[in-house]
Amino acid sequence: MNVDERISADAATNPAHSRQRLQHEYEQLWSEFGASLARLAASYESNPQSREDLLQEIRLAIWMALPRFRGDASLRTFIFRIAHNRALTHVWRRKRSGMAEESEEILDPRSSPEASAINRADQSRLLTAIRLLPIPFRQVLTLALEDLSHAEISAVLGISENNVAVRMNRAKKLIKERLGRR
Amino acid sequence: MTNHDAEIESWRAEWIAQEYAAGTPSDLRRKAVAQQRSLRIRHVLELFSGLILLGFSGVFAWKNPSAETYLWAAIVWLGTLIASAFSVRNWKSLWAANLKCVTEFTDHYRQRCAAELRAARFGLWFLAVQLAITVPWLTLDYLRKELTGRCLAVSLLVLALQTAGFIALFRNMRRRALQELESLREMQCEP
Repeated sequence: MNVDERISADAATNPAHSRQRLQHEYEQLWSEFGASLARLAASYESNPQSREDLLQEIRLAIWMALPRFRGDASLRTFIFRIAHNRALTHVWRRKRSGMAEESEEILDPRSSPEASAINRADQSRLLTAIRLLPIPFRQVLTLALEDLSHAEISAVLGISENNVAVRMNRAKKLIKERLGRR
Repeated sequence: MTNHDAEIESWRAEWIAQEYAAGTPSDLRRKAVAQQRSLRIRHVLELFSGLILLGFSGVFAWKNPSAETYLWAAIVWLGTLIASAFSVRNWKSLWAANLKCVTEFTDHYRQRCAAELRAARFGLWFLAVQLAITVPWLTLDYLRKELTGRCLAVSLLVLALQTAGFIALFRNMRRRALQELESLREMQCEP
């Protein structure tokens, strides 16, 4: 019985219990995917406050979508679809409101103690390199880093597995170039 | 099948090591309910203002039967019904779209932007038609001595202020929709 069936069965007998169950399901889901979704938000948003706002939007969207989960796709695919869709909306709206994306450069930890400290305290060079990737490559790579298979990435993004492989190769090439550039 | 790729594996350790506070979702239900409630209130208010316009124009045409008032009421009804249908369609598809895959969601978002652009264009044309009817109508009433000079001046001033407000609104809608479409285009051109 999937999440939705359990919730529907509960709702028939006790609506209050159903709400509690939904909350419980959500908390379980968050403990499983919360860290992944926080990393996903970080790949789209470098500003900590905006990142937290984006994570809140993702949480809310998943909460509202959860009763519609029918089990047609895996829960992981379902969650990542919603998260990426909300993150894209966030990026497009940021552009609409005239907020430019903060420019980033990949810091060389050997260049200065300050740079090294920033690097340690804030973000890894890998994350910075990922943020600099074009969005379609970034999506494929971050999903792969979350250990999704090509088939799952294809289901999340709605592109063919061949296309996933092509994007992955180009993303890896760009990352290697950027990480190698010192 | 997972990604057993040496490079991905080596980056994964670094990727997973990032630490962010995932937070606790305790007040989420309240937020979701509040957000849905505010959307519903906004939606009901939009529909209510549409009903007021429909009612007012209907009663006015009924009390002052003439070709002029029927034409005016018909234009008001048509405009209000189109605006309400647009609002209902936008509202209904707001949350459901999140469940689609990213490519479908992007298409849906593009269609919404295009619809917003069409709505802004329609709004500007509709405003121009209304002005083309209202200004000669008021002037004609003044020439027929059915309206005093002061009434005409006040009416034209109110009309000018309303027009300026609507033009600002539609231009803002258009600007936002174009910016979002540009972001979508940029994203598609990236690979």
